Amino acid sequence: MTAQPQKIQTQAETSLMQQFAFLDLEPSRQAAADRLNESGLPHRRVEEWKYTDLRALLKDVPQLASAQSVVPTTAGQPLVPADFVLAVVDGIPQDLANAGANASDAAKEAVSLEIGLGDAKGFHEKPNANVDFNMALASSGYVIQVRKSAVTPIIFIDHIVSKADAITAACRHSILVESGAQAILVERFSGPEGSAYVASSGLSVIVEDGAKLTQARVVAEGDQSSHLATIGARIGTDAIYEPFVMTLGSHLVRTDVQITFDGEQSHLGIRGATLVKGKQHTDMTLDVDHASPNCTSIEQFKSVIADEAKAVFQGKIMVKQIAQKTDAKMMSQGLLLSENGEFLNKPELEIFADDVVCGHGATCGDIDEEMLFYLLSRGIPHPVAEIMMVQAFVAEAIEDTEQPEIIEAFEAILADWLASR
Amino acid sequence: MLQIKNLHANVDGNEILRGINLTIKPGEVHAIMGPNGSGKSTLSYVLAGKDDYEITEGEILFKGEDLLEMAPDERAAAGVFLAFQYPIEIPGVATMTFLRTAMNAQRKARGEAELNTPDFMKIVKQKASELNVSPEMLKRPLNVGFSGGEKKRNEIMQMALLEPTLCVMDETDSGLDIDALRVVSDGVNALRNSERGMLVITHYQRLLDHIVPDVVHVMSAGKIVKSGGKELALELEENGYADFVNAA
Ligand SMILES: Nc1ncnc2c1ncn2[C@@H]1O[C@H](COP(=O)(O)OP(=O)(O)OP(=O)(O)O)[C@@H](O)[C@H]1O
Ligand SMILES: [Mg+2]
Repeated sequence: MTAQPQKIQTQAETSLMQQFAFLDLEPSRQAAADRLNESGLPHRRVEEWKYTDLRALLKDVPQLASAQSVVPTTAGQPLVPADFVLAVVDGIPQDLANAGANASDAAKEAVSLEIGLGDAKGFHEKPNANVDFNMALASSGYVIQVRKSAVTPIIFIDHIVSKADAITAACRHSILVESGAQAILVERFSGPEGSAYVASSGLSVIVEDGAKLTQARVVAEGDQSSHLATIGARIGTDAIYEPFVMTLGSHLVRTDVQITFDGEQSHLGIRGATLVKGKQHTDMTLDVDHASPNCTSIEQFKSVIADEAKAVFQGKIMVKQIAQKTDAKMMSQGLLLSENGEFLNKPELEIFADDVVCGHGATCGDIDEEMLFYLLSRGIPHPVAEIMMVQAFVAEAIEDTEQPEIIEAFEAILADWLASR
Repeated sequence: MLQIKNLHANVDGNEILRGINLTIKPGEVHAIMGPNGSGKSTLSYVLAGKDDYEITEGEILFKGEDLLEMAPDERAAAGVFLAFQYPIEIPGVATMTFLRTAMNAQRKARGEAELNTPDFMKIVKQKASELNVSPEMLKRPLNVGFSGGEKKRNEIMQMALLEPTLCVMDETDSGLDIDALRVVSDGVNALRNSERGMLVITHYQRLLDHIVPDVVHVMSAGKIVKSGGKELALELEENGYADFVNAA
């Protein structure tokens, strides 16, 4: 008999396992915990984590915050005026009593809100460590259901980490946009600077036939935190899903997005802007499954990298054999503002249907000197010209957003980021 | 106002400007003609402050100051303007935002108050209509999708808005139709005054019928090989550059 080599656990793994042992998990959460126990945190030899060695990067998994330990807090100023304003504090969803204070009767009629764990139907089919991490740790979230109505309700969820001491905050929401309904979901993630907290966020999305969901997410966590997010979405027939993820905060960010087309004639427009500086490491890993014919998708991501920061984009588009007439266009671009920044771009197209239009492009470069000179030659000082060039670079992704308020909010965040750099 | 003395400039180790001497006094319009590749655009870029060029010898004084010591934006604020031969498209930068940023940056650098929105809109609308720049063009990102002629009109509109003291125009006439040539020339002539100097680079005598120069220079292989009055342009139109190029 050969002895199994003893796996050495990292501090984060040890702490995670200890917490799992202590929590009394129901079976599906326990199954996720067991998978993590078995595999440990993913490292660079696991293909999907090649550029984000979570095992090396995640130093600790601090104590999971519980409902008992959380001081009730209300949401901050919403990013855009919203019908429903919800707050999640240290991973714990807050009381819904005043959530719809600003909502019209029609919006109240259209939206039902509950606290709990919605069924994870829209959630990831293909479990990965990020999904398991969230599945095991999240005990609640908001369950949002939007019915068909004449209005498009706007729901804002403010995720706040309130404690200065490092904690782990975990939650998972689900949103179901029913047949023919429309909704806008706006999310913000923030927390204290200097704290090595861990935020695990899960979101399950179902956009039913003829429905439309627009989503705007801003990840602006504290500078020492780790943000591990997963979004799993299913899109019905004749449906539209348009998420935008803006990532600027946090020491470490990994966002896994899995989207599946369940019906025909649907459209996905997923976009993102990543703004990183210092020693930040961000990773957007996207997996789009064209499992139905006649659907279109646009995947457009912009990464601005300053100082010694690192941005990773992994974009996989699968076009199944049945998915004829798919039109998918993916573009991922990096703009390096320093020589020490790094942009790692891994686009992947797997096409099994023959009558499709699919393409991907990837670029990475510095600010265009010719363009910069044009601005300088008109008297615009170098720092201002550089800001204009970065704004121009990111604008391309932001501009396609339909709601002017969301565009404005994104532009303001970008301007703040540029000014503070 | 502008004194270029024995200017030598290299690009990637190749000497492109090989001893340029040129003096422009306030109120004067100078034209530079010369074969392709003789260094005309290079001279205009060196004046505007593009940093691809290594100045190996010589100096440039602008209003008595060492121009070569100044950054491009400082030169612009001091009154240097280059209308580019090939204006670049800048996607994502709105034309109006650009104009406003440029105008206010220059005003700020000169210690003047920034323009408020109504004043800015008014002056842009006026100059745009004078130069046949449509409101639709102003709504687009800078130069994006503009035709060749539209780009050139946009350059001259910027010049009219920024009111520089030294206007350098690099083949502003190329790509312009006959009507646009008149519109642009009128725009340029409207800017002529006793304080402003102009350097007009062109291949065609036609432009100089509209913008009548005080002095015409012939540039060849990085040097000014001949200078004369406006009749020199006619002579070139007749005979080509052969005489001068060989002389150089
Ligand atoms: N970046 C560069 N690297 C190498 N050579 C260059 C570079 N820029 C310019 N040159 C060379 O310098 C010479 C002068 O170019 P310039 O553009 O100044 O000519 P020009 O007189 O403006 O010509 P045209 O009438 O065609 O506009 C050319 O031979 C050109 O190839
Ligand atoms: Mg030229």
